[in-house]
Amino acid sequence: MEIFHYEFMQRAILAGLLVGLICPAVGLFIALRRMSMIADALAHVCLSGVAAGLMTGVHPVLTASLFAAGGGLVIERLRKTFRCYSEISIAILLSSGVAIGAILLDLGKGYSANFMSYLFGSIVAINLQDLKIILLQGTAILALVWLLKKELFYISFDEENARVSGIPVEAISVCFTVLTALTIAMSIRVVGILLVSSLMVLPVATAMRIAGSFRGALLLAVLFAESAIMVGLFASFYINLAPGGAIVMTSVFLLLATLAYQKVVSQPGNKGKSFPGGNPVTGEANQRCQE
Amino acid sequence: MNKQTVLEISRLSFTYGCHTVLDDINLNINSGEVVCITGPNGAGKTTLLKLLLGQLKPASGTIKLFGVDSARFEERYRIGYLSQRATHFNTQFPATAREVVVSGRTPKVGLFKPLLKEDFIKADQALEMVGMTEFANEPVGNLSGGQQQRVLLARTLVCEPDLLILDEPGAGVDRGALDAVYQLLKTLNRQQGTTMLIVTHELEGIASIMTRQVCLDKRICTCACHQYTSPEAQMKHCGRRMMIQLSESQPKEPCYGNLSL
Repeated sequence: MEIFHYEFMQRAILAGLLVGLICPAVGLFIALRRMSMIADALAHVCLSGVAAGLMTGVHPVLTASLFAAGGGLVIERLRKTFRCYSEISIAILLSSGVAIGAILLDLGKGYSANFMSYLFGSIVAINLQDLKIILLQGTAILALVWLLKKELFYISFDEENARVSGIPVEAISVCFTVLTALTIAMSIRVVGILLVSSLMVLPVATAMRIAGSFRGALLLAVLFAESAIMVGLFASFYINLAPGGAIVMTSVFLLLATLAYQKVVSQPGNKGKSFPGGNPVTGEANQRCQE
Repeated sequence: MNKQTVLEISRLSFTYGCHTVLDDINLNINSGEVVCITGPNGAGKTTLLKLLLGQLKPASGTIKLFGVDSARFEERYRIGYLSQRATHFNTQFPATAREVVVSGRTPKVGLFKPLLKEDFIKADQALEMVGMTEFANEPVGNLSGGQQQRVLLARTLVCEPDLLILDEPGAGVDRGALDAVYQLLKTLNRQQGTTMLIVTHELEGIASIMTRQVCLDKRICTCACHQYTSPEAQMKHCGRRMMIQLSESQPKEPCYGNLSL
């Protein structure tokens, strides 16, 4: 196929496939721990990191990683300070990230065009240096998430019991927030700062509607993310769509198609099928989802 | 069986601000014992459990688990704990009963190490023990309250704990499911000699294996050995003031006496 003959598309596909593996793997724990908005706040902190990178001449993905990791530590501290109103910490970080980014961009006038490619992503413009950073950072994140998988599962399912049984919940939570920040920073070249959190959440949301097991949810989320990235890249190459937007809209379509499918099979006459996420027709959860 | 002291509480007190919740508690539990803690709401039962589990620090006094001071006790997996809110998990959580049970091996396996085939075999054995083998691959959120309780009990048992701490195991489950849980606890205690500390209002099902009943209301009020004490008898032991608390919800006053067990 023509798309595979171009070096820039080969780089894009390789980076896309790695991001499509890591984002849902981290995203599944983000969703289960109800941290989706934290991911969004950290993505906005990347704005200031990218602006700092463009100003100083350091690779923006590296500065974004540094800023996001710092933001992750700050958010963990703020969540303790505002324990009963932890969403306040998200608002503080999100607005601070955008504000610092705006100031830095204003100071370093002339970077705005380059900045746009980080705002909405430019996967097809990934160069060899970008690819190396994504591969190194991505492999390290994947290895750590894999090593902490069982602890993250336990904490996500039952934090109180995890604490009681001696699992270092605080340390693992901080480590996971930093991993989330690094995942977001490495993915901004693919889908952009404004869309990156959706790549972590949408495939997971779709998988959670279907899967009855954790393993199944993880595999399906990766499958949906990889499919969305490939469809987005093909759409970008053949019909000249913005790749970041095309990837996210494919994820949205997959979610809507899944919900529609569930609605059809749950109609009267299609009894006997149960979904782990509850009844998609009534929107009623099986039993509880808030505790 | 060698009657080793599993739990040793000495002159334990705890306060929330200026409000004394537990005052001068002394209690020893030997291996193989089944001790039930009863008492009115707000008596400090859950606080006592939190202190035992290292979730709170005592204002004064000491707690020793398996002969080690609780602050320095590291082998937490030797204690199996089932919270009264255990079944209040997110039922949309995508996990099978088997995945939930095997996750109970996490503290024993240790950080950065993967779960091995042996851990899954232990999980299957725990599921068999609680009679949930046929539901092993079912999403845990799709199970009934009683079934979820049994799965979570299997998760507690999968590390083969030496001390089992159960906080209101009857909360949120029907009578039939509770009887099945108590039957399982009896089997565990008789066949494996598991030591148990149970906070409960439902003594009838567990009375046949209970070795001691401890009535708590800030202080330990009664200790009835090898017998089931009816709520009326508990009140008698704890004195008239406690009877007033139980029946008329009057402001609490401390019980008379403090037995060192």
